[in-house]
Amino acid sequence: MSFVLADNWVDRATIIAHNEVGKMRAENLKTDTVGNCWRANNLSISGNTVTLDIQASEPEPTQVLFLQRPRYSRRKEKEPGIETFSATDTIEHQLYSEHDATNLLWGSGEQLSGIVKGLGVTGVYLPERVPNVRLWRIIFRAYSRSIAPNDFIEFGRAVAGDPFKFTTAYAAPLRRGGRSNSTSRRPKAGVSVHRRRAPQYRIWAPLFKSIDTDEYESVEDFLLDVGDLTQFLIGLEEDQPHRTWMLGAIKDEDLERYSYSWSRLPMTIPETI
Amino acid sequence: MTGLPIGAASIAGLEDETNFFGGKLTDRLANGEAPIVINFLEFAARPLSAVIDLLGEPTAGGAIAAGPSEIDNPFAEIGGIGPSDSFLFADSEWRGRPDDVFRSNQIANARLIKGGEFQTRAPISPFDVRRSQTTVASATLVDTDGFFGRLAKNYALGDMRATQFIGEEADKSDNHELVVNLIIKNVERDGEEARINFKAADTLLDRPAQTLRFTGDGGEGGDPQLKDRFKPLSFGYCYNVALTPVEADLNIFLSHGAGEIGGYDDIFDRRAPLAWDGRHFKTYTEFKLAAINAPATPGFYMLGPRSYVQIGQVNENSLITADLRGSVLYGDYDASTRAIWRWFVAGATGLGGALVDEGTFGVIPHDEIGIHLDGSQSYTIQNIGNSLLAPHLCWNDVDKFGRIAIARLVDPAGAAPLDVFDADDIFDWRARPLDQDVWSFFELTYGRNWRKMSPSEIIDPASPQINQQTYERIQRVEETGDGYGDSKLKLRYPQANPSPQLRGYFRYQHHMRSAAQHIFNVFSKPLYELEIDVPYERAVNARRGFPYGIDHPDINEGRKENMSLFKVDPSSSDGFTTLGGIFAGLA
Repeated sequence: MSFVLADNWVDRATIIAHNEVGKMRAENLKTDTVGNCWRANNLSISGNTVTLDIQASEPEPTQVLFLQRPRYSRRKEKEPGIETFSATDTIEHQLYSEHDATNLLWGSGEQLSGIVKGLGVTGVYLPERVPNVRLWRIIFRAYSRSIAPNDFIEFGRAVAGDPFKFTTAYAAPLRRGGRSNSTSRRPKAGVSVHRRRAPQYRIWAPLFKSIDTDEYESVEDFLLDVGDLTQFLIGLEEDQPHRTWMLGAIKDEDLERYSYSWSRLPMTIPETI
Repeated sequence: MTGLPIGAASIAGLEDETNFFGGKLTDRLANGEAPIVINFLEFAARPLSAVIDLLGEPTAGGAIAAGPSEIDNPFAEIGGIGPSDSFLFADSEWRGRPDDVFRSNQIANARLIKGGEFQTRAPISPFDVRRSQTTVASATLVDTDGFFGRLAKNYALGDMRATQFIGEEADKSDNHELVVNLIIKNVERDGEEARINFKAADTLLDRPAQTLRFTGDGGEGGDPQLKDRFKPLSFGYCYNVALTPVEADLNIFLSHGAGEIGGYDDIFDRRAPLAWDGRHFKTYTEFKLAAINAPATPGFYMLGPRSYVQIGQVNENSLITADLRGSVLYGDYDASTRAIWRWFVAGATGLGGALVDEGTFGVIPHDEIGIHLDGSQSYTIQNIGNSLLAPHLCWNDVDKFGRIAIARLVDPAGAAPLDVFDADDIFDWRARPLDQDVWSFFELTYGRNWRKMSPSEIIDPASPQINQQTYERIQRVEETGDGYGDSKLKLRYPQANPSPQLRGYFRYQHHMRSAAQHIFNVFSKPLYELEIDVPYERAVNARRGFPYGIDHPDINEGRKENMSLFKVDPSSSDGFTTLGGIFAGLA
């Protein structure tokens, strides 16, 4: 079942990194731009375990945890040393009710990040909503990044919060489009193609074909919240974060209400990375 | 189209394009791969207070000391790039690896929309352009959030150095290729975009050459009527320059107001040599005291290595002039055009080595010259450069590294010598008349009378009609003021037009003669071969002209067209290109 998460409490939180490099601070996890990232360095010296504490200012209900690292092209990430956090590296999430990491509410245990090359996305959909989270502790174990000079990891965006779910399934499946700013040209009298490649980004185009009044109102509320290019997290399949979750912002939406119980909502959500 | 590549092959300071995309990129492109190419634009960091020091020496990473901390730092919002770093923009995401040599742990802010929107201009000859020159450029960056408004508010972007380079994603910056170095001229914002306009380094020469003024409060500050007047400056061998009376009632005169000079060879009153009375003093106080208590009788005495002199007897008809060696530039006294201009560019302006390619100064002939600025007018450094370089057909250019480089038109390769000048034949030199102002220069004037024609006018190289219309020639070389002309040449080329002027500064006649010969050789070639036009912007820049100092309608018109033909004398045996040669060139 798809969900969206627009209210990301990390943006209101205090982030404490035990390892950060100069201006690539952990605070960068709050900025929309993923490329503007946090970097932990010198893992070959300090050990490949890096802990990040995100302290909520108020108790926050939490069911979704999401992390994205900066992305290179997939081809590039297949080269050694480029992928700054790989599928085989592990992440352990811990949610506490106190800032000092007492009273563990939920822990994921050490799990493979499962990050897909060229996407850089990982996340967890908790089985139940945890109501009063004050500390999200993330323990990164970067086994693939333990040898200099590639002994650093990067993450650009962290999202945590309580997702919004539409009450009915979409009438049409979500369409995914791949986009990039790559261009190619042929010479006028030739057949060879010359390309200028640019990184890819995804576009999701959900289409609500039929929603009832309650859904209409909740969708409209959602659009009012995020319709001004606000970045939010959209997940198509709860249990497949690595490929179906992404950060995006609504570019076009066209909510139409034809009758009491028949509305449609095509919209375009380009990925914001 | 072929043609004799006048000049271009030897123009110094032009970079070889084979190095333009070096190493890795070249390999990739040659292999048909399509790397993700990222264009970067880096604003070099510098102390925020650096207004006078135009540009800091850009170290490898561009790092310069931090600016005042009280100034708002807008760079935190774009990835924490602070005022102590360079400001790095790109058209894609890029992060410097920790082991990056130059830009470790830096984030390139992906705002660049159009980098590399540089207008390039081809140098001199369109037939042998190895690489076009960058002259004017701009870059466009995203400014939806008003970032550049804050930047412009808090930072003086003008004259900040900017570098464009190109690289690949995930590449370390030492693999990046420099595209061009430029200097920010201004920033235009239009809401969503900010356009950065650049200028080339040689515009930094448009600054006053004289900075020292008389204060008018007596002593070295000069008499009250001198207040705010520039102090005189002398460089090289200056002959018969009028000295500036500093304290008139004490008969104290000055030739160079900034430091030591090489010395006086002679001091004259109305061209009658005065005798040195053997004294010189070390301080102005002693020097002046002597002027009061024991003035020179009747000759002069001096203030140590500096250029003050006291004249024993001066009357209302006196005109005090001097032959002197001017400012001590480097230690060893070197009065060549090369050394003096290098001092002006690299020394006086404070431009660092990164902005001046001193190696190219070697193309300037090593002759000896003299310049004296008497302070009655202000000159920019560029003015002086034009005067120094033009007689040698040299000019200031800018290479892709953003450095000021010297280029020169050279003699046409393989051409037989044209008329060989000698002193008895067509020109002479002498000091300017005493009643004129102070520059110790000699003016060289030469005539040109080539007639511009359309291709249709050229019928047959063998046709006798052509001979009627042959005017590619130097008519005369004369000294201004004398009306001296060469009757022999006039006789041979009776339709000569009034001549353009070219001022040269030479100590020796033979240097002047060789410069004139050079000019003659170069410009007696048909202009289509010289082909100055093309879109070489600074070459056609009305403000400067090309080469500097030459102002002639034929040249100016010719520059604005892609091709100009000039009829030449097919019967000439003295090395002129024949019409057959022209047609061969067009083939």
